[in-house]
Amino acid sequence: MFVGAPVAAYAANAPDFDRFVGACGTLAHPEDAGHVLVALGPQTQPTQVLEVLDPLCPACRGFEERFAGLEASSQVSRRALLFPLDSECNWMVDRPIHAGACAVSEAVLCAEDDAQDVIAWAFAEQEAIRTATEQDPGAAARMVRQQFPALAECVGSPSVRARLNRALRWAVSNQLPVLTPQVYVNDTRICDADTDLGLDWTLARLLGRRGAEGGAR
Amino acid sequence: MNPRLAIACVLGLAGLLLPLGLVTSWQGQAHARLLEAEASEAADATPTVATAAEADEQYCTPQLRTILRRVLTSCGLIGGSGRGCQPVEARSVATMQGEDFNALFLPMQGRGGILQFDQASSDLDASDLQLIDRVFADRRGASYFFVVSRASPEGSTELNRELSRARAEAVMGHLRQTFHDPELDQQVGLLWLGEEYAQLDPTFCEWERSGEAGACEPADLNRSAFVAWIDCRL
Repeated sequence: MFVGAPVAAYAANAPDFDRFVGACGTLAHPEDAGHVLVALGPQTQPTQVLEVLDPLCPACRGFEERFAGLEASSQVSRRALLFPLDSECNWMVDRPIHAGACAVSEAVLCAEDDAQDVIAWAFAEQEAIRTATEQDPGAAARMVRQQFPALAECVGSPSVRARLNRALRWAVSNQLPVLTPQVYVNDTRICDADTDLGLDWTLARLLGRRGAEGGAR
Repeated sequence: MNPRLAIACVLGLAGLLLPLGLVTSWQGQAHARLLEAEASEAADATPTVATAAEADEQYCTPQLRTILRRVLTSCGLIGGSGRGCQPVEARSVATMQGEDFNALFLPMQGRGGILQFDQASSDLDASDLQLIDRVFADRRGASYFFVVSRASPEGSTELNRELSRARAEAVMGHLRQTFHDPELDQQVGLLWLGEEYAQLDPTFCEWERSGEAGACEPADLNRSAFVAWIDCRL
């Protein structure tokens, strides 16, 4: 009783944190007419997760590792919007925060169905790519071509550069914050604080919300 | 009542009420802190992270914005529907002398190029295509792409008007075929000026040009289509 009563009192007055889930905005224009979103794995699940990522961003790699460990990760279809924090192609940053990210992002777009392979390689080699590109601006493109010879012709071509630009403009049309990673579940943004330790809890609630909406129909 | 039982009851009640009171009090304080933090966050309207936006360079003077708005509206890119295409009347749209009109574009030297055509031709050769692709792919945060075509004064005014129109449309056709951009019609403004307005002067010889690098007589320079991204937000 001495334990149960305070616990019951706490539970009865506990704040409703559910109102914070999804309180960080939604995508205004989620449609992908310009073919800028990259599919990450099979797109068979109805719940869509969109990751705004920079392949050379350490926090994005950390998010990827956390996400892969979640039970919910198999219940969603994932897509990525490439948002390299590199002034070589991204006018929204004033310096190459992640030098080489533009060339690697081009490679991800060029790889199409094999995009995950390029992302996995970039996550594994982040530091080496960034360091080499800080010394020599052409290093990232060279490293990509060496690792993925089939993409050599595509990387740096006008058409992929234009497509990457469209990806950045997609961020403009949706008024996204200039930061990575960002995560959206069915167009609802997961708050930055919840992409870390609270990811599991938040994702479960958003998936539950989706289930409840589906059940209510 | 047995005094020992009474003491036990009092202690038991105290043991129950004290944790209950503490839990309720701590929850109340936490709730107040949460409300305070939310209110403070709401009051601080300054965003801590920038929001994605198009580029807006220093050369975008009020005068340039006015001209751009007029031209883009006339071309159907703003507030209209259909293809962005403005035939003649550039003089009346711009409401300025040709030299002043051209001067507006001078800051875009690093963002554009001049495609030089053969006489009486609107065919794009390999060097033209390479220059278009390079300039178009280097969009960065620009909102609008201008194709401003001209003709040298040989031949009739009417013929030169049509020739410059064909040159502008050749560029548009290539962009459409190459880049498959669904928003192309909202981005690309075509202006064909024939020989009538805003002929390019030798200042523009310093721009990146296709064709024979050395050929920069006024006639060579005006058998052309000027292409450039404009980094101005309207």
